[in-house]
Amino acid sequence: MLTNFELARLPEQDEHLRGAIRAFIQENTQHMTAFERARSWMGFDANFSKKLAQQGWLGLTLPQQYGGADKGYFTRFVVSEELLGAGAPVSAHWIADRQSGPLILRYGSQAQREFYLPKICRAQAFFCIGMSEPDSGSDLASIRTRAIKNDDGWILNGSKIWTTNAQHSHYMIALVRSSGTAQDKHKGLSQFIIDLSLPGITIRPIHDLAGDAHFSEVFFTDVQLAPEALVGQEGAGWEQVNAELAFERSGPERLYSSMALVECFIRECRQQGWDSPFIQSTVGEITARLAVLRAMSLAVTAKLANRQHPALEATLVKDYGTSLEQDIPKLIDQCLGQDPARMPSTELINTLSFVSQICPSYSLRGGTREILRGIIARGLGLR
Amino acid sequence: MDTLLEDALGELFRHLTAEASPELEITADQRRQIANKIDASGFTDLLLPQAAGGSGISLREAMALLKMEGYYNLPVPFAQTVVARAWAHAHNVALPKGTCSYAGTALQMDTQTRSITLHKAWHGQWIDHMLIATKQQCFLAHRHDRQILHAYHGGLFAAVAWPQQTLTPLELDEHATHDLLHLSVLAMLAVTVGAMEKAFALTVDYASQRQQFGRPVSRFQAVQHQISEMAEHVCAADMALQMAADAEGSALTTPDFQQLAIAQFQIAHIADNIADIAHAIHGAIGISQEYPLHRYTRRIRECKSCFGSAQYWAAEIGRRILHKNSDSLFAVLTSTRDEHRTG
Repeated sequence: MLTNFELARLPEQDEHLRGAIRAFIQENTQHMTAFERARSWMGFDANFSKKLAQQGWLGLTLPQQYGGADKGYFTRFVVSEELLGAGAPVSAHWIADRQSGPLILRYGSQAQREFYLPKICRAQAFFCIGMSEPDSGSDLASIRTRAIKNDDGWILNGSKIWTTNAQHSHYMIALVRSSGTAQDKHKGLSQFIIDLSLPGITIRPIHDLAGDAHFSEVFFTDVQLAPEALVGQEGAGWEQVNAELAFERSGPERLYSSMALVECFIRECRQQGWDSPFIQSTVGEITARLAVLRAMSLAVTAKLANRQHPALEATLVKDYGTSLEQDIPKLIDQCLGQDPARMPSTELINTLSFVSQICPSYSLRGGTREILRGIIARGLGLR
Repeated sequence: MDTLLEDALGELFRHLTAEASPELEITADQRRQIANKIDASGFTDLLLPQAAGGSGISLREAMALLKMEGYYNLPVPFAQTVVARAWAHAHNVALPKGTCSYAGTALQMDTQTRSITLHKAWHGQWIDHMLIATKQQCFLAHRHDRQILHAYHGGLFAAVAWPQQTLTPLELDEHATHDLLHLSVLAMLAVTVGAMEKAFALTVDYASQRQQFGRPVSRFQAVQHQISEMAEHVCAADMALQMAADAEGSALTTPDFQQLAIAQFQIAHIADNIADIAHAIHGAIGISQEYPLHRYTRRIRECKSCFGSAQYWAAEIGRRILHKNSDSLFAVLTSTRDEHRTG
């Protein structure tokens, strides 16, 4: 095989963390219904993020000098999966903690690190990521938002769309064109950290099909950026974005999006005594597929911990994981309707309906299924 | 692990399968010679402790070796023989030399003819010894007493029967019978995953070489996406196998039931997808007898559920989850192995 997943175990000291985190989450999310938990990492609660930060569970992988915990990938895996498995409302800090912080640490200047990273660790700086534009989705290199150098730094014009949490965030890390034209494709793109309180920025939340407004359209009109808004190297934005997406794809995020629904369903099976062979095999199928995927995700984490670069493996796990996450509402729907006399609770009906409607987004966000399969094919040497 | 062992076995299997003419059905003599050579190599005792002449490797480390039976389309049941020999050693069963396989399903005791019939026995038509487990009793059956009722196409399975008085009953406790079943399931899974990996390798190679419309078919996005999906399934199958084989302790520790059920489900669940994509990419050549793909897809399709289908194993897993009254599924997924055992 060209890819290689080796069974890994979590180190004992990281397993030990689980109890404290689980108790904390239980205490702080006990008011939440399955319907709310089903938002997974789209659930926004700034207070919850601040409480997590007080416990020292934000910026786990960042160095201590910036307020981080200097922990490794395994620790992050445990904390992430505990949060996601419970459907805790993590979205306020999630992108800063997972992507923006590591990106700034890796590509940012010393001044940027010292300015942003401590704020991220204290849940005082929430980030969003500006990638898609109205005419640039999967074809990301065709973006038109442009930053032009001037005496005071950069003048920014254009717009971003489908930006998760833009309306709640302090900063956006945006990929924009700083030189050349759309024909130059990947060349001439740069990443900027944009303070969303600057004049000339308008944020318009977009309601999704479930009635939530977790993403926005963001307009930039002659926004004056300081010279130090540029992060990393001018013109190296494409490489940096790809490194960033590798962070995005490497975690346990792609297992648990439908977990709140699964737990709600299993609880109800037990309460109502639903125990047909069909229900048994459905619960078994979900359990088995989750267990195998979790082991694959852990294998990717172990490679990261070993300083390897499992970009192909991470992409593969993400694509496989979203397929399961999307199958789960269909499998559960089959169970409920298998006997039309069954009376599911309103909570289960609500949660199933929400997950069924929102789950197409699982294989869109952070790179569509088609893009991911193209990346895997390239990794296999097919293109 | 010791890659020397892997290299040596791979070399042996490559050599043995190259000698047998691939275009023709393999003869009984050729099988016998291959089995004898493997026996002489000592590899069939690889799961025994070092003190008993084995290699002392763990069950998990042995998976790479057992998979090779499927990967090289070896015409003898190497993996079953290895686990049967290890099991016999652990439970003081006197197992004669030679190939060995196991049957615990699709069997029928006929009180009138006083015989036991196996409808789908692994290499049943020519195996040296067979361990047969009924609900009540475990028996050892030998080649010379066997009646071959039907040899299925492809040579992997046969319907066979033994007169009851020729069977040697084995005095075993219940654990020993379970251990044998679990090890046999694991061995079959390893062989199946080996065949999946080979089918995948053939598919990637073929797509890169076969030209249509003036370019290799691997350049077509529809083909790329199917192969990417196949890669995901094959990686998941191998991960599931590793999970099942991850028994703590010595080489003779048997797999944890929950992990084994998960692996058997996962592998059976995606087996046909893998075979279907391999054939779709190969086109007509994959249907021919001459081209080797069918040997691997036959193994994938026929071995995937010979100890129970995906649905059967899923229900086994699900029943345990549902009847556990309090644990969330997340708690089950994240519990460590030691908690599984006691729980």
